[in-house]
Amino acid sequence: MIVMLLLAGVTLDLPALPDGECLEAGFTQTRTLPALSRPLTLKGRLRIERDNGLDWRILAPYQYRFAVRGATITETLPDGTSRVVDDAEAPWLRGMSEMFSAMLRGDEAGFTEWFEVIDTGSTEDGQRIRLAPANELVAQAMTAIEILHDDAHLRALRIEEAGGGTTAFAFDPLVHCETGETR
Amino acid sequence: MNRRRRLGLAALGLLAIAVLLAGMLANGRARITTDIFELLPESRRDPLAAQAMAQTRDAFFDKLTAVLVLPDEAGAADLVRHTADALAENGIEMTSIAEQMARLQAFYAQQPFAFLTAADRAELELDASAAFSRHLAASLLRPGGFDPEDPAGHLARFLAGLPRGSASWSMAGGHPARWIDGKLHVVLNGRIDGDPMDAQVQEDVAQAFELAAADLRATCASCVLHWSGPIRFAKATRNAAETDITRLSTAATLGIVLLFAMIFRAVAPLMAAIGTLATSVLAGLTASLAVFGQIHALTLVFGTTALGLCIDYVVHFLVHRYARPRESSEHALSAVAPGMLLGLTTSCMAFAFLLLSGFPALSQLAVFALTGLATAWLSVRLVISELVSPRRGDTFVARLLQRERRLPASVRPAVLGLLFVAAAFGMTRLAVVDDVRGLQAVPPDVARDARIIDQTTADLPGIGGGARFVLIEAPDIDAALAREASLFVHAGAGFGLSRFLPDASLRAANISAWTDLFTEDASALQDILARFGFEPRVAAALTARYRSALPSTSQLAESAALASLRPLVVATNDGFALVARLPEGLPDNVPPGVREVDALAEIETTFAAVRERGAIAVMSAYMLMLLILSWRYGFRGGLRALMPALLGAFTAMGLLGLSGLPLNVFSLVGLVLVLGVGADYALFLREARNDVPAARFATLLAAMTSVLSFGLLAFSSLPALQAFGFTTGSGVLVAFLAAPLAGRAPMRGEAEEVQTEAFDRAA
Repeated sequence: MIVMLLLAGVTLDLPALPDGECLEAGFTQTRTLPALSRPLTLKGRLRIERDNGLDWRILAPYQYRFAVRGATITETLPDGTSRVVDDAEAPWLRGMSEMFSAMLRGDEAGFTEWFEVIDTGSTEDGQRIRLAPANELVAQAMTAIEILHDDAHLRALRIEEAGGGTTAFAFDPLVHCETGETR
Repeated sequence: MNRRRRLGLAALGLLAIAVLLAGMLANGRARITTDIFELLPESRRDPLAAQAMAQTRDAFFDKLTAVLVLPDEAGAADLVRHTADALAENGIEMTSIAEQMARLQAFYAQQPFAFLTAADRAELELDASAAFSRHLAASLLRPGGFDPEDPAGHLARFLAGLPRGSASWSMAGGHPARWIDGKLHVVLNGRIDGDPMDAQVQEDVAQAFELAAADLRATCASCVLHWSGPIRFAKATRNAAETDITRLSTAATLGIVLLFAMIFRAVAPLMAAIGTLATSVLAGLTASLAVFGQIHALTLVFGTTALGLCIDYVVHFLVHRYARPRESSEHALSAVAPGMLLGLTTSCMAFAFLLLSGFPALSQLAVFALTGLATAWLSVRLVISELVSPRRGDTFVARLLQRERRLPASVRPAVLGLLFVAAAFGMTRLAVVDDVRGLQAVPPDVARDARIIDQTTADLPGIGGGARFVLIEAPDIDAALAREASLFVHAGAGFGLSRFLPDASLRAANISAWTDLFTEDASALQDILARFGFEPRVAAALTARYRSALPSTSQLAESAALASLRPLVVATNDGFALVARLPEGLPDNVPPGVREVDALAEIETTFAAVRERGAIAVMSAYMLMLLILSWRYGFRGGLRALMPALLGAFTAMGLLGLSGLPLNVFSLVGLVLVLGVGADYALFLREARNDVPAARFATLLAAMTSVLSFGLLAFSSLPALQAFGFTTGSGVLVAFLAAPLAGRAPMRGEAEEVQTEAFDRAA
């Protein structure tokens, strides 16, 4: 079964998530900040569950996990300690995670609550969508997000930060997984 | 005293009043106020609580809140900015929460190491390097924003702990927003530039909102702008007062003009009545301003109405004068002089007792009425008696008196008996209300907007809120902050300055928690940052900021970023007191120097005390009047003379109870007037020896003018005026009906004759 996600006329066909299943993809994250002497490159894995669950893991060279379960955002720090993140502490985090979940679940309303499409186009690698935060709390942290996808795959994502930095993600193809299964 | 000297003296008096009043108004020493709190006495029991109440009240009075209701989020930010701009164009600046947060952030960023959450401080104290490293990694690894000035997010966590609304709040156009019933409610907060009690400021603010709302409707038909604030309530009360006074005084004036035209069929009597009233009001106003420096608009309204009493003197003189047009003015004056003097004495007595109530409103009213009544008495004695005479052959009043019809003997006692029984039943239902909030007239649109704003902003913290607060006293501001912080920990919650500004020792402890990272040229910090790939300049900038001097608590408290919290700090003779709010009230076992103040209860207690003191004053006035009347008529005669006024007051209270209207301090003022008027009616009838029909007719005319001027106020939309009007109107009517019962033959003939002669000579 295919869910149609309509974003300003651009169609991204993604496999829908039946109960008990989830989607998973590996990614490479490259962060560039004016304060860093060299870009920080990280490897990780992203996992989306049907009921608003998002699991964002950095696996190398540090261990970090950022998990959303309903209204609770929890992060596990490199030393293994976990803490609940207050929305007011990093207001963009909820926007980011809900944007991801909504996009991959095909929930247009959930997506447009946080971001609006400001530009679309085609490149050799696929379709490009440029988004701007629709939420002012998210806008305090980032100015734009650019998504690159083909017919069925989210390929890359780039976050332009308000402080001048950028974070680029290159995604492996999404695969189905079982809820509760951890890779 | 001959005619020329009398008129000269009157002209001189009038000139003195005019010069004094003009002088006071011209140099700005005197003013008319509409602030209801200025009617209340200073709190003598707790001056610190009074100062705290005044400070928070002033901050509250300037506050404006608007809620913009939008059907959806599309274009919300633009609509909010557009509305805020439209308001700003008309002089109303709405502060955006984004700007406020940015100001706060900049304030804390001056020395971010001094501001930590308790959890972060504990972590840093345990192992500063490990704690910093752990949070730095999280800030870098989580997707999204990164602040190089707060690389490990310590300040972000402190800011997240500041008082704020629930998680349901978002932001639109830089202002807090939340969804209620499927609609986006955006809150705009602002302050008035000017005195909220100033009529022009009130009109300007209301017009600015009207223009902004019209502008909004033109852009978005389904969008609504609600607004509220003490200024809107003050404006509504002022508008209601103006409308009522115009409407009711026009009706009263027309009625009285018609009455005078029908009875006297000449302009001079009407001019005499208006001139006497105007001179008395001017004299009362001048005396009140001279004594108090100001007069409240309500006092002016009540005072002017109360001086309707002085029309009685004019009416009695005119009826006697027109009843016997061929006789001299002196004859009419001597016929009414004893009644006038006795009436003036008893009325002045009643009002003089209000001076003892200790309530500025009643004291102002007393001075106003005493001066006005004395002026009216002088006006009749010196001017009216000289200037007003009937035309030759004008026998209309005389003929009216000859055709007088009296009520059948049994009707009056029967009507009064029925009224007495009804009043006795009503007394059992009479409710005493001292709540100041019930005295305002609140139009439905104002109440609706206030309700919507209250619902929308219910969980937003701020210095507004209810009338209950906690006062925390200490010898210095740091001790007060520390005491407040420990109280909040004890109570589990709270809103106060310490939530934003930790005391000096806590800030020092926060800075000291970082020490391990910054010792020995901050090598530990440099190592951690270098490990994550940061430029060396980042460590250098953080080190420089860590070593910069931190301002004192007083300097920080004076910062512009904390300006909105300044009313929470009260400087006392012995140190400082902080105003704080606890959602659940004061817990048990609070430390010394902490106490709860309930401002509304204080005001209610004050009103209750004033009402009680006023009641004692009125009862004392009755007792003194009884003494004076007993001196003149004997004890039983005095009691009978006082009976109409007592019956009027009793019935007025009973009818208040039957109508479901409360007894408050304003009905009490009405009862004072009933006492004065009721006594006048009885005395004028009782003092009429040769001209009983004229006295009866004059009393009827006086009662009609009184009911027209006082009774109509019962139809006012202002609860204060309504209570006053209802009490006075019903009381005066009953006192009039009962007045002939006091006008019987003397009880102690010989003794009274002796006193009469002495008194008549004085009159």
